[in-house]
Amino acid sequence: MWNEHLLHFLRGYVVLRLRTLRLQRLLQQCAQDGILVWDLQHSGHNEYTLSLSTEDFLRLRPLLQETHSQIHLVSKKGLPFLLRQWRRRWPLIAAVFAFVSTVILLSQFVWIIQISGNHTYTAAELRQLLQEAGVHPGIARWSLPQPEALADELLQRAPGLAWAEVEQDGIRLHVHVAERAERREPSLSKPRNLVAIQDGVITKMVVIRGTPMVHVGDHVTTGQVLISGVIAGSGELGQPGMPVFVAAEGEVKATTWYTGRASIPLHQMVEKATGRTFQRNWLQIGKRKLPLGPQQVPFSRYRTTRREEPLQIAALVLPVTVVHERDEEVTLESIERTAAQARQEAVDAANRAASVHVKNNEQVRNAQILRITTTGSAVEVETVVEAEIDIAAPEYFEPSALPQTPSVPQPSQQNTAP
Amino acid sequence: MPKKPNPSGLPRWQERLVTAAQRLDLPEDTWVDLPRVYLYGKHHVLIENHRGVLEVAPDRLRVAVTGGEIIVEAAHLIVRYILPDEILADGEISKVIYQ
Repeated sequence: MWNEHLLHFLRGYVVLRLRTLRLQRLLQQCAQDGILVWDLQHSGHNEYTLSLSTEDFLRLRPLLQETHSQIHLVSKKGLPFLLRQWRRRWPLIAAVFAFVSTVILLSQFVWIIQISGNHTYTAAELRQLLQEAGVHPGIARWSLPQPEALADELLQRAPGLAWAEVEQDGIRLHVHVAERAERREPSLSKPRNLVAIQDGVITKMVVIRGTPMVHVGDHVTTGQVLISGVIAGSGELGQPGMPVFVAAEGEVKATTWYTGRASIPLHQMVEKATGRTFQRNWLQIGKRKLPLGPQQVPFSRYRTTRREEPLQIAALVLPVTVVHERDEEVTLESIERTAAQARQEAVDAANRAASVHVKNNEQVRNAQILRITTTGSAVEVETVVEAEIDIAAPEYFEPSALPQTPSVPQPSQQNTAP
Repeated sequence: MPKKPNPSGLPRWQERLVTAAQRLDLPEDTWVDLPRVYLYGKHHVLIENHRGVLEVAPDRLRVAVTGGEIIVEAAHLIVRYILPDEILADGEISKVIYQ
């Protein structure tokens, strides 16, 4: 049924109004001549409407005379007639065709490379690595390497990645990566020293490779070499040989001190939320704002939190952002502290301030108050925090550019034995 | 001797054929040019093996068939197509009469 409709549409047909007294005879003739009639309907006294294909319409003429019937053309339908109409508007058709073919052509390329999951690698770095692997925006889809191959290639080029997946979705290429928990240490083949990252007193020292330059109990300053990557060569018969350059390795722990300072006022005005909120939304198009709903905040004093959602239609990210702003009404409240309360809070705050440099795996040993100053309106406290930290950090050097000679460190007495 | 009219209106030899087919448990319309009428719900009627359209009215369609005619009574009647052996009509069908 639908196939026939489609066929009629494609070949073109006419709707006729037929006035006849001899419908039966006419239809019989049509059937004999193979003229197909459809949508036949009684539409008045001895009047009918019916549809015929364009070719059959011409063959109907002689039958009409024979049966003394009259016809009146109501409408022409179907593709051939539409095309005839459209022929006058050929620039429009050409434009539509050009548009569609441009879209199809452009959709054969990858235009957007999306990278997700990276923390220490920047997107630009990964893009650069992809570029080296031969993948860049504007690359044809058919010349794109296999996703698995590309992921492997990326893993090889970026040693800090643990996993990579490449997904191609139309004109977009998603690159999902997962990084190693710690970025892999650069190779141990390059000579290096271990130097102090902080002033401190050495509490523990384990040398795996290299020449120790300090001892437990020594006070060191920032940048001082702790374990040298230069090992004095032991030549024949006690003669000094050529020095050997290695990547120094070891563990050096030191006690360091951090100071922190905090000031807590006795009288303070703080903002307190009243619980009333107001929501503002708008569309941000470049620098222009398109308000959605009322924009006037009904509070005299408020805090705002903002959330921005880039507008996206399927794969297309539009340069439009939906901004939701939540305004919380606040009131000013005064806080009164006693001198003792203020002092305690100041000490806590100063300790916290001092401890921010201490890493999670390092321990704060001791905290001492250095100084407490009480003015009329505030208590100011300075504290010092003692912590044992890993103090060594690698520092690479070029053996040829090294000014120091291997005779500087004398790790033990063995070489100078009589 | 005048011919005895048959109840089905078929020539006598076809009548015999039908009887034979019935005895053999064969579908009789495969043997003879008998009309077939299919009703698809209330809105479509398909008539096969017709002998031509006799009348098309807004509420009535008369179709000639072997041995008589079929009258379809329906509101808003429209003949969807007429093929040499098949007619499809749409409308709100109330009656199909064979006479």
